[in-house]
Amino acid sequence: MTFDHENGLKPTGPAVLVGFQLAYQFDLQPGAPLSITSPTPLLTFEAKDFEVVGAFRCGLFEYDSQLVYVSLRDAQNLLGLPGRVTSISVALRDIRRLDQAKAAIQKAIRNETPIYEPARPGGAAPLQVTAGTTALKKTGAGTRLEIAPAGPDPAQRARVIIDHVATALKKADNPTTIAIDFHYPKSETRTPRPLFRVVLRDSSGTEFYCGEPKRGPARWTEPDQGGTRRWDLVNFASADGLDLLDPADIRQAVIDVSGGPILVSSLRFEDDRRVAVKSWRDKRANLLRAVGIERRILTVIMGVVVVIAGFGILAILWLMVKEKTRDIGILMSLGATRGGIVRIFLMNGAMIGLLGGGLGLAAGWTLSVKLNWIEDRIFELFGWRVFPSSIYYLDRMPHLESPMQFGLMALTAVVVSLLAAVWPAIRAARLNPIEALRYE
Amino acid sequence: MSDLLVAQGIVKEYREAGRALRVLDGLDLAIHQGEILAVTGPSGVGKSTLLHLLGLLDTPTRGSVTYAGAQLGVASERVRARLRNTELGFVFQFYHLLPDLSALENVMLPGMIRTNWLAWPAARADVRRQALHLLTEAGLADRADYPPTELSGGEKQRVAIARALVNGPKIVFCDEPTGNLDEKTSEQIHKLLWKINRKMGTTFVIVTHDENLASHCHRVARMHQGKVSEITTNAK
Repeated sequence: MTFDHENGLKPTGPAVLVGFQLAYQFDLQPGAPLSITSPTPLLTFEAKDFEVVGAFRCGLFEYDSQLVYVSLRDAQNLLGLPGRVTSISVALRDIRRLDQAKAAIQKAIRNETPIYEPARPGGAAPLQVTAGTTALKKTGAGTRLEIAPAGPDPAQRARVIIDHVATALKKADNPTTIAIDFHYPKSETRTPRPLFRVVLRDSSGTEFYCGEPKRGPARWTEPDQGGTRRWDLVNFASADGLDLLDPADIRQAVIDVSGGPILVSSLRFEDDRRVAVKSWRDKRANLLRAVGIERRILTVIMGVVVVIAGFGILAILWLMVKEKTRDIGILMSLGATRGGIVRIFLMNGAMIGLLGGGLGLAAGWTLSVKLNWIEDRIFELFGWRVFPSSIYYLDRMPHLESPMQFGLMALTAVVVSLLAAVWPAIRAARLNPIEALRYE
Repeated sequence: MSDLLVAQGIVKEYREAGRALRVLDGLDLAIHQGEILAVTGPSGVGKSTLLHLLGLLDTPTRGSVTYAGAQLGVASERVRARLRNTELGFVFQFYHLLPDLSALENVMLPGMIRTNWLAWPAARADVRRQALHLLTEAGLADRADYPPTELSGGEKQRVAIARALVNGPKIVFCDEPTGNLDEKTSEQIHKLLWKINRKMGTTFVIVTHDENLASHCHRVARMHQGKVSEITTNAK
């Protein structure tokens, strides 16, 4: 990729884009030289010269103040990783689709592409696994293969494999071997050696591991090309802790082949490495958790404020009933029913709620929409930032306009005011008209 | 003359500091349709209490109040409120006008209470016309939009009388209607009450100390020790 100056000059050497906060801090103008160093395995530093071609601004303070962008080739040269990448970033147009996008990427990596060979369009899963006479099939999780013999009834299939393992364990005094056959298509020439182990679970959920390949009681036979490869678990039953296991109580057997080489379309992942799919939400989990707690605490505080406001309304209406005692008596003498008196004060409460809720929503909406404008004016007047971007991550405060939330707030205001009006209204209706008329 | 309202064996007791205070003690009284009845007697004899019981603002401890042949001792609060609104009217010594409303609005108030709130916009004009008519009868047409605080005592009492009449009641109860007014103003109030009685046939029950007023009434009931001790009929 080539970066151009604003004036159209092409950079003479490797180009670098710097975050605008970083450019501001070090006064990096387009055309300025920038030397980037990277540690080598020998604990020395290798430096390469770049030319600043511009600044970027993404709004996230951490990136704008820390990141520089160079071309992929320059980066691979600098880090000594030719032809390789350490991570791939995916930007979404619609942030609300974050979880779906993450799941889709995970699915593409784990499932849709075969583990031991490239995807074949329209082809069925190529991997067939058998344990002794029992067929094993690849299941959903991909690198994790659950024993599932062929047959229409899943329960029966499970019983077959459990019987199989149990039978093997019953012969514990003799060295027992479970053989698992992997059938490879003839076209597959690579012969990856899967790293896996067998996990047995009993009815209480306790897990028993055996056949940890690195510790040894396993043998891997490799044919020259394609065909069947056999995985023998020798001395299967002598593995750690298995003497505690009741063979008749085995409920599940799982063969875990995680750690094996994985091929996903044209992406090749390094041996012994797992690919992690992380969204910004995962990367900032701690921050988001803190924000979540903060929001919950704020909700509680706001709830307390609402209750206090409710008591304020109650007190006002209570005093109003006291002040209007004689008027209430007059209304009763003119034939107002107690229900009518109750209605007057409930309506009063509802009006307070509607008016207060309406004003509050208008003020809240204005404040959230104009927040950044207000902050800028304060900065202009007093030279002081209310939300410094170095603390708040973002250089503009975002806001969310949710009609649901607005409606909920309006409803809460009316309901709280109505509730606050109930007691004074009942008190007003219970007045004795004669005493109320005499009231001074 | 038929009996409109009949009170029989009325006993009213108040509990005060654990002791029963008997204000009315087996009182009997019949009110005739279309008459002006004065109730007199010394202070504390229970005149106002009687008025409140007859006006359905209070319930007797024992005894019965019968209105147009209907027993009201057993009537629900809702029925009593309805009767207070449409069949009965009240005029108090201290006027009891709502200070936040104008004179006209005060007179319209019983009409508003009578009307369902949904029907009010449609009924409003009629009630207003009736209220203005009554204010005009009371000589207060030019005071209709004044708040009560800007009216004189006599004017306030005339507004209160108009308010008592707006729903066309059968009986209006007046509790010392001129107790707060000078002689000349009292005379105007009396004339107004008698005029209404003649023109509309409204029955009046007037609790008063004013012997001059009492002497003009059709009948005078004198109370003594919680009972009506004597009823005199004045010659026309």
